[in-house]
Amino acid sequence: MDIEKKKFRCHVSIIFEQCAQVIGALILYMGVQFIDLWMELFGDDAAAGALDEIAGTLLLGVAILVLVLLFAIIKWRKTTISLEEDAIIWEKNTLHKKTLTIGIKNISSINIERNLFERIVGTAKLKLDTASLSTADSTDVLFVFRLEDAMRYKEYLEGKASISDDSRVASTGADEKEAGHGKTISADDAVAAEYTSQLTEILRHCFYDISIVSVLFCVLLTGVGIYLAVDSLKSGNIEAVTGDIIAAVVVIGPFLYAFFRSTLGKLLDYYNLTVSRKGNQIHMKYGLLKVKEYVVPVEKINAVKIRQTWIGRLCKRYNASIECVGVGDEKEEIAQLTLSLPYEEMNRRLSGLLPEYNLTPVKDMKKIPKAALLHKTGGLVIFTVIVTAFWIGTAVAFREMGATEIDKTFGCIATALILAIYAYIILTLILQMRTEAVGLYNGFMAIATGSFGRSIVITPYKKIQYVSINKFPFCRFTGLVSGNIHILAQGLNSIKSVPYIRETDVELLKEKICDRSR
Amino acid sequence: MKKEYSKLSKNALVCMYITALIAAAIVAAVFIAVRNLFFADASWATVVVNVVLLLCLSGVTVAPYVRFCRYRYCIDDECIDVVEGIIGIERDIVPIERIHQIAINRGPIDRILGLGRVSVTTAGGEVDIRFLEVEKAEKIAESLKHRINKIAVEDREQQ
Repeated sequence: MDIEKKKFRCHVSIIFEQCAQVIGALILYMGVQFIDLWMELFGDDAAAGALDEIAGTLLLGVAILVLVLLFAIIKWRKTTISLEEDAIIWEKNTLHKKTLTIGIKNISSINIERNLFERIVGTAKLKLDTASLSTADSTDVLFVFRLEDAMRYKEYLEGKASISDDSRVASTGADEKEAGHGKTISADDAVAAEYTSQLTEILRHCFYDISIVSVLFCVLLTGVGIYLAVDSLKSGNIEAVTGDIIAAVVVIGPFLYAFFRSTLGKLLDYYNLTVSRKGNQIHMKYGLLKVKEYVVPVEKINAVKIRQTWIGRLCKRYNASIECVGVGDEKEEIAQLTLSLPYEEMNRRLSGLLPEYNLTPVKDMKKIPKAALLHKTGGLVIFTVIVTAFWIGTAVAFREMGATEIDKTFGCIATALILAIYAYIILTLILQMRTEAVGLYNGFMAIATGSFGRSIVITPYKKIQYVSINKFPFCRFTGLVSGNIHILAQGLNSIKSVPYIRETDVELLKEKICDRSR
Repeated sequence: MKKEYSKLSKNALVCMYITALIAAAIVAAVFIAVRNLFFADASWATVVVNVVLLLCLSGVTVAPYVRFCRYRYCIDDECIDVVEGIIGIERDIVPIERIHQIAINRGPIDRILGLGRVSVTTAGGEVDIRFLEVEKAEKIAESLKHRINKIAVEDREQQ
């Protein structure tokens, strides 16, 4: 292959991309200095020394800009990547030398990303990630090439990475009683399944994905704003009213903007989301301003997550995503397989994309035992102790200081707030009891958690790295324990909480994760 | 067949007492310093410091013994199983097949008492078997390496 054993550098445009923020800040700074200079020259109080001062500052800005560009150019010249037969070698020969050798077989995802600037200049970022915990929270190798070159190298690496007999993942639901799909897809298949999300589907997903906290916060802020505006209007003073309304808009406006931006911003992120299965790889492409393409070998997928937000739960909508290293390292990266859909449609798409994962038993998972409520009320007891201590302390302090009308108002507000928190805790407990479940099936484990929303994580036993179980003193009365399973994923996604299960089930789980015949 | 769990040696108990004493001394010193510097006249601060000192005392006298009695581990052909805790008990189960790396670590107190810690690393994190005698730690590490190599050979033969 002609690209093997050659050293490449990033496309030169990366210099400007990396320095963009610094250049932007310097230009802004120098612009402000120019305005100052103009005003000093032609203003009423022109001062002779001011001209020298501003000129000096401008020169400093230019000097910093030159240094930053020089440093970026040296770094660009000294950083190379080469493709060997079975490995990629990334080298940085600056003052701090670094050489990274990555076996091609260890690559867990190969991604192409193009932001607006890259689309204008005709380049693309090639991002490679390996299945390694130590680098799970960041991209392992990132290089910018011309678009044609990036696509060529991506194809070359896809052809070499993780295509082996082992990568034909056997079905996790071989037991007929569990109605497993039992299908394997050979490496030679063309596109086995492809789904593109339409605009209406994306808009619906934006609606179903709204956070309950954001909604409550915005409603509260808007309510407070309206109350203050009405209160101000009663005074009849036009100037005061105008000032109050402007102040309310300035304070509340940014929060409302952030809410709508995060909700409708998903429209830009998920634009034209296309997910397909080709051989033993999942291909994902999405984005309007920043187009991203990911390729994930199926064997590198460590879990599938099915999520319902609180609105999704009310409207019976589910969305599915994957847990793997390489996708999700950065905030803009999305590992979504499907957007919010009815269960049957989501199941149909997942059957085409990942027939290895059997979802049928997941719909009727057994809830956690009722005795778990005893464990969960511990938090409520602690909160009650804290509240009691607070009330006693406040009562003593008020008696010493002498209670007034204002203090009585404070007392009423505090009581209402505490009652509201109690109501929230109790509601959360009830919903958790209805939501949480654990299932140990043939080949995989399913864990459901949440209260208002719900999240179901499905992971094959062979992907569970280890298990931690916690047993508290009163567990001997209930026979229940809780804990975590640890998988390979970035950040906190590597730890999946296991809600209360019987101690006997722990031995069953131990047997299943240690079984090497799977 | 019920698996046999191994317990720790008496040196481990001494190590636990020493580490508990050091931790309690640091915590008590911090609380007393903060009380004396910022809340010298507050009676409630004295109450808080007394409660903390009481907890430190129980942490030094009772907790290490309970921890020593509860700590046990089991290593067989399939997995490592470590159980430890004082009030709550934590159990870590690591299949041998998942282990990527094995290391033996020895802190300053471990060196004085002839103890060591075996750390096994998987793709999902690390699990430790602590307070082992050095010879035992080395034997366990060696045995785990052999088992991992055996598993790798068996996997290659199956392919």
